[in-house]
Amino acid sequence: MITKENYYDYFLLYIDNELPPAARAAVEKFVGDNPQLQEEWEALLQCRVDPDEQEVFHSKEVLFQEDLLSYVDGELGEERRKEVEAFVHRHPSKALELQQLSMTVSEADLSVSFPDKESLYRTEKRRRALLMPWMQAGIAAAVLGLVALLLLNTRHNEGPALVKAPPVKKSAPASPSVRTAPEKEDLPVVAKTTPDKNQSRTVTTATPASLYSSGRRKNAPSPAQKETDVTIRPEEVALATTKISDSQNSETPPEVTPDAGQKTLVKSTVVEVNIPKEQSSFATQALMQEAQADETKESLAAAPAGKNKLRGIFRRVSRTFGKTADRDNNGQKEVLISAFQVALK
Amino acid sequence: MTEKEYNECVELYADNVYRFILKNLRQEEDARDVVQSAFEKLWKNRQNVETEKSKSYLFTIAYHQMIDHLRKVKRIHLQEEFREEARVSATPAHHLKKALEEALSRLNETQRSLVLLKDYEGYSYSEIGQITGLNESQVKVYLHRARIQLKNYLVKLENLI
Repeated sequence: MITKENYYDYFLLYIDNELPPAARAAVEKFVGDNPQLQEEWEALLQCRVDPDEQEVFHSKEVLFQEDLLSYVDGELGEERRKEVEAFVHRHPSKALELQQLSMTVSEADLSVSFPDKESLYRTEKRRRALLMPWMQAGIAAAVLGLVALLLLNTRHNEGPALVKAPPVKKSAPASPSVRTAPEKEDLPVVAKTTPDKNQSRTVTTATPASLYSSGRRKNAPSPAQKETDVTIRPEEVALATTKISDSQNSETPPEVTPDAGQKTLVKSTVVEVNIPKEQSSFATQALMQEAQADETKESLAAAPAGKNKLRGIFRRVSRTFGKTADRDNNGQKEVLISAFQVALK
Repeated sequence: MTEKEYNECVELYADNVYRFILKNLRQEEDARDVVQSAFEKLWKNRQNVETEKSKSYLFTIAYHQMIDHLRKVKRIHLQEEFREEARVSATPAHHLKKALEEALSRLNETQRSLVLLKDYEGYSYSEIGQITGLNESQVKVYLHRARIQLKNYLVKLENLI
């Protein structure tokens, strides 16, 4: 209820548009019923600020110029573009402005191109060996030389006693070699494929008759095997025996043994025997090793020094420290160190 | 980026970058040096640059090198610009394209670069921002100012005619 005590509050609420329609109508009726309040009522109404339409219009224009620029830049969405086009169609002045702004768009001169484009192309540097022809020939020659050396080395390692004539046999004048023996010619595959094995078993050496007669060889070869394995060559025997005796004379003083006479006899009956390693005695092996050592000396002298020196050292070491004898020597295994036989427990 | 992709970039973008730089520098030798330097950097960093971004990478490198170059020759550049301005005012351009080129030459380097990147290459505000190191709002404001300056120059010339 509006009274003369509270009417001013109702007037302020009316101006602030905070009253419901019924209260607003009541305020307007109260002002009409009290003309002395009309002047005060109008003064309050003038304090209210209405929106300035001109200002709003100016803001829209500024905003629209930005839209025109964005239109020229092609940054507007499809919907907004259509709105701008419609607005421009309705306002010719804006159409002129849009046309002037569109004139500012530059077009690239496609006739201008980079003058030296070839200089911009790049290729990754791939590391390739640029070999001159003479370098290639040199490398080829080196490879061939290496291959030849390998082949020579391989042939040298293949049993020289059987495949090629050993140095000892070369020095023997007009002696019938192993290759001429009919028994050996019947076994060419063995001689070619397993030369080392044959070499280790086919030894030209002196055979002490005392050792054979002492009964220490328990596993004697069968007669048939003896016939095929044993080949007697008097000339080679004489030469080998001489070498052995020479080496013994040069390295150690001659031994005076009770079997000296018998040994002399044996020297004249030297045979080339294929004795299985497990069947030979340690003394036989020692003699065989000495003979092989002599062969090694001669081969070392004939072969290139640098290469064969090392190989000779290895051979000597391996022979000095012999492998464990596999021979069944009364159930005891033995190691041969030089001329000594050490029993292993 | 592989060697092949790099060479494809040369084929595709060398002319674009060169036009952009030449329009800004107006010196063929300088523009060539800038372009070569930009591609040299692209070649060195090709392992780190994706092929899809190679164009913007090239424009970015070229733009910054161009700015560096302009800073080095700023004094000479300003003198040339002064003479050119006098010549333009003395002989009004009859051709719109020439007038626009003259108007472009009156813009500062940033504004001119923005206009060229937008008009020549059609880059968006955000892409131009990535190339020039500005944010999108700055690009928009600077570009609109440049457009209004160009428009006012062209309208003024038309009124003179």
